[in-house]
Amino acid sequence: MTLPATAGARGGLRRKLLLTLASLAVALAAAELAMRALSGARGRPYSARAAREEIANLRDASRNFRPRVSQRVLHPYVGSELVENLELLRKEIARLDEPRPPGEYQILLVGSSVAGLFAQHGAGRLREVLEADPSFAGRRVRFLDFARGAFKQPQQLDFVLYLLSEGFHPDAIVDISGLNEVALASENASRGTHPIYPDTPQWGFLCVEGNIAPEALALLAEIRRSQRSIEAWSAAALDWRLCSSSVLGELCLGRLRRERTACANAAKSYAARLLTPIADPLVHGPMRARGPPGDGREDLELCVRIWSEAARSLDAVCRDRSIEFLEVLQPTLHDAGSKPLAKAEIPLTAPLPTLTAAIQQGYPLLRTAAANLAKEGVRVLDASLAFADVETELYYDFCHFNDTGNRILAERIAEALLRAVR
Amino acid sequence: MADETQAPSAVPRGWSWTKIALAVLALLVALALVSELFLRGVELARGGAPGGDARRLEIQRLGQVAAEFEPRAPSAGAATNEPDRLLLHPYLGCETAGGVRQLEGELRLLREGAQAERFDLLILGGDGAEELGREALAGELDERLRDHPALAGRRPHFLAFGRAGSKQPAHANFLAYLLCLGFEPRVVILVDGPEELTGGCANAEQGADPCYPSLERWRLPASGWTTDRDALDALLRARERQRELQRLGDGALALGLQHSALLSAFTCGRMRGVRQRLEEGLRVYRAALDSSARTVRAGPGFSRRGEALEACVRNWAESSRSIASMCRARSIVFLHVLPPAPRSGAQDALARGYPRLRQQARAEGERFLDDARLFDADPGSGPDGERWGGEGRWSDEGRRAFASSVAGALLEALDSPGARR
Repeated sequence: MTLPATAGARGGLRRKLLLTLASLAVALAAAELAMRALSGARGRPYSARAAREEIANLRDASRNFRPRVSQRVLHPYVGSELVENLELLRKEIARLDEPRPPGEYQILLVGSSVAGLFAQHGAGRLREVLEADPSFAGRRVRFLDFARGAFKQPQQLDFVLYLLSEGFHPDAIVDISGLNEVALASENASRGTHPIYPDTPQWGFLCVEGNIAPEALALLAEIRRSQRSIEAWSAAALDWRLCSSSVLGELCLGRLRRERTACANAAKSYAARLLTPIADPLVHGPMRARGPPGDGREDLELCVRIWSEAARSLDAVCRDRSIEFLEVLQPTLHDAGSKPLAKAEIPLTAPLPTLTAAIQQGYPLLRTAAANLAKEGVRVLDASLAFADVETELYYDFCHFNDTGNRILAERIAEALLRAVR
Repeated sequence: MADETQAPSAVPRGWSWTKIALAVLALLVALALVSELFLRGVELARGGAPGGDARRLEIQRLGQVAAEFEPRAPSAGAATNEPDRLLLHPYLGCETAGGVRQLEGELRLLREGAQAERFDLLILGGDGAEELGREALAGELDERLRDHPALAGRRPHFLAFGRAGSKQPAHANFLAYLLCLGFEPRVVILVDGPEELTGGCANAEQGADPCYPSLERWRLPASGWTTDRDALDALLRARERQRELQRLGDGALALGLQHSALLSAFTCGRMRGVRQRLEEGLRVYRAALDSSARTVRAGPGFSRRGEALEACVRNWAESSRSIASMCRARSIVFLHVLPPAPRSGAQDALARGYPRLRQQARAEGERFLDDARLFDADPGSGPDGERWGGEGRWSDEGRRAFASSVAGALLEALDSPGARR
């Protein structure tokens, strides 16, 4: 008698289970349809292919991500260098073994980002003017670009000393500088770093990276946790084809995006931690006996002295090797009276903490130093007022100029170089 | 009926599971007590002190590994008070902590205006320059210089910036750096040559740039840190082991496990296992550091092994030429000195390189003192010559002879026209 009852109960249970499963499937299908409809309504119809691509991109970005402040590495003689530039240097050194093409005239460019951009946008015009001159007849100008963003003296001088010891022997060396020597050096001083040391944000983290406090290590652990999570979720999504479903695909993407944000935030905190000023002689260089606080004049005089002595040394090492040397005092927007402002340039002159005052007080000192160097026989081109008569827009930020600006500077440099060569 | 149909129990009649459990427990306790007594007996037989002190110390010692572990290369990071400790320097590769303090002291004097009353003699270079800059030897120079008319009554002051183990172009950079800082030496004495040959060739042998600082000196500061994924994983695993070790040690001591020979032996065993895994993790991390920092250490690298010596000679010649140029532009008297070749290190590079350096120096036409054979003229009677000390280094007598020779050449240089200003 009990047997039929048990069979009936089992049958009911089976029916209930089937019903539940069917409802679940219907609910999932409805959710899938609703999700797709919602995506469509938002103007971004769900695409399994696009989701797959995004997941793969998130995974690859995570795989290649290294929690460091930049691609900079230590360099023994100039403080730091970009990894890609070391590779370029390797190629240039390899070229030294080959005979130099007949008639090649090498110009080695040093300086900061302004010089680097000049190498990209102004060097062409410089080559044009030089090659058109009869004194360059049959010669082909080749630029060796060793300008580096945020560099300042004595980095350019040390770079040249190093390159000469490697066997480089260019025909001319042009240093475009002045701005960082007063602006970034003063900023260093305001951070308690010696003005002669490299720009603190560029050099400081390389010194302190080896100094891992538990907090920094915890941030690195968080970065690695996020990376591993991204790896696992993207593998699951791609291997199990979860992207075919908009619901599961979106869930995976949401999780991956959250992990990416967590990773980026931890990396940002890690970088910020490394960039935080610390009282470490490795970062700040020799302690200075200083005048009373707020004596910016003393700092600026030191900055200008560094620029001036480095130019004198560059001139000396070039002179004895029959290399033409040209020190170019670059123009800059915050230098009062250096350019009539175009409408678009007015917002760019908004005062910048430390920098504006350093430029406005430092540039007159640089001009005097340049004139003194010239009197000693150092070839100096004071191009600080090269844009003094140009009313059109030249600057796109407070120190970098557009193609027209670079062309103007190129012509001034060409003129000075030709005077030396003729 | 139910009792009748039950299968025969595995437990003997009169025993219950509770009794069995209690018996096993009693056996374990007895076993533990016997082990405890046995271990204490062994401890006493081995001459160990009774009581838990030794065991507590052992646990603390194992825990100490955790506290000592620092995930960084020994020379990177914050400065210490050890004067010989190498620190990163943006323009010299590295500098000693003592050297940083020395420069700060000189900068203070500079600011006080001391330079005006002084006749500054800057000594640059490697081992030989560091020797020459030592107080006693500088005193030897001082004595012979003091009354020289070129000093015009000014007090000779030695800026002893020779750094053992450093090589060109760091000396050229050092001069450029000091000039930018405001130093105005009247004389620059450069003592170099051996390090450029031995360090440069050793670099090239390992595929590193001969112009880079010698790997022996630069390797550690340049390998401070890496954020490679593998390295990070190794580092984080090592850190986890460190925490585990700390936890085990602290927990054992908090529970007073050191009072039991058995439990402390068990704890120490576990801690040794964790420490082994920590050390293994650190080995992996250091290997990752080593591989990751290769570009930083080796620079643009060097693949033309047969030409290493030429690259070293060129580095030496070009850098000293740069120093001569910087001096000439400022009317600084420049004396370039080739010191006696050390009898240790890469003898082949020195034997082949010294004639090349001489040849280059002659071609340059700068004031050059060739002291390479200074000690050969008077070898002395000792097994290695009186002027040579142990391990191929100079003896005190050798140092004095070198200082005297440099002083002679310097006086000659100061007598030359144009030396007085």
